[in-house]
Amino acid sequence: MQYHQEMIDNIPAYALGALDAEEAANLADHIASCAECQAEHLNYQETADQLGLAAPDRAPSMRVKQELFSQIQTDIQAEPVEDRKSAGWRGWFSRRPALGLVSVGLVLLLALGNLLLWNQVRDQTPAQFRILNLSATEVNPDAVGVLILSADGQYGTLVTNDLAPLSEEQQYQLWLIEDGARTSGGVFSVSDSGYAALRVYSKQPLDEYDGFGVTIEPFGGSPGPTGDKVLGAEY
Amino acid sequence: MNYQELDDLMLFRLVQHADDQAFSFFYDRYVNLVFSIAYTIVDNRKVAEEIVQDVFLKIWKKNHTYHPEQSKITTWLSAITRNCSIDEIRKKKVGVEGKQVSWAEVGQQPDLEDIGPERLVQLRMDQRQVRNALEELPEDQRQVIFLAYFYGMTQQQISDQLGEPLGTVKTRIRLGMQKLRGLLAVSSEIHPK
Repeated sequence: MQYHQEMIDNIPAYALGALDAEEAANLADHIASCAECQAEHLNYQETADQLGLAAPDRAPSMRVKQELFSQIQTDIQAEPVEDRKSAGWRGWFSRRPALGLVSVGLVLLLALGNLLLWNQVRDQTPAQFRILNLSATEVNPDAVGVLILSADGQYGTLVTNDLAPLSEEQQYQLWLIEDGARTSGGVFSVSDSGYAALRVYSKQPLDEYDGFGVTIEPFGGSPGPTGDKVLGAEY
Repeated sequence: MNYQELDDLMLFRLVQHADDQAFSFFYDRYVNLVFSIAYTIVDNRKVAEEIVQDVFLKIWKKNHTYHPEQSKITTWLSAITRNCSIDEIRKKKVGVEGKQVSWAEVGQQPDLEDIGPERLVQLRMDQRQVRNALEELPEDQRQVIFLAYFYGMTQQQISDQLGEPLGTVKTRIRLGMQKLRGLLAVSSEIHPK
């Protein structure tokens, strides 16, 4: 009982990370087997984790964001699209090898099913996606832009090619146009070849907008279009 | 989409789907909190800015490690920032000798003047609750909690730094944290989050 009391007395310091290594290890062992101390620890940890909010307010320079997002864009462009999509699944299956085998079986069954289904419906290709072309302007006449919409218009991806790469201080910004008002659909940078793929999120179906446009904006985007228009479409 | 109108969780869900614009808004919403914690710990603008980049890169690359049912975004961010910052001062062996050990600035924060977006107001209220709670503590208890939280010092190191008996330091930390827990719990009941 006395040992338990000693342990419980140490929990506030433990939550602050102020115990030495041996004390912390002993307390961690005790917490693992003591429900009362587990509850105490959670409670004190929540208290300790709020202390950061008391730090005096300060702001970093704008350069920090530019460097951070430049690095993120580089990472995104360096990572093959397939890797991005499948990395999570590979990790998931590697931790669950039995499920991986079952899944392979299911995939084979599905493939067989699809083959049979394909034979039945090959003459009736449903329009799963719609493609909207965005026209280039004289600013970048060779640019190509297409907006791929899901069947229900809820999701979309803008794909561009041959857009001129911009300086580090600038990015392209997609605008969703409705009744003359423009809402940002996202900002993006392009690869050296002018390629980019931007997922577009919107509160309303994308096919309800009157049009779309892409302009050159300061890095991070603007509340409304301020720069040259490079792609556009109205419907 | 107007990202500014999204609450923390919705915004973070988009970040988890690799939406870089959502991440840009997320950054803007919390960068000052992250930088303020880092700067308070490392006491060096350049190093604190490096920590800001490290923290947000971690969040971008490992955003699946956040579980909203376990903690608020601000709590999660504070914990990551504190850990990165303390690792940094240990790595660079930045000493705390000669530093001014004080929460004095904490009580001198400007009042909430701007009627900003809802999330900014909530953040300001959370900050004020913690600052007010700390001001309720006796100075000697505030001091040891500051050294432990912002400098990552153990009770023994605090005892050595202040020239106080180890038992005294332990008691101050225990009593101070007990009182803080009570005050912050009361605040949460008055201003449920």
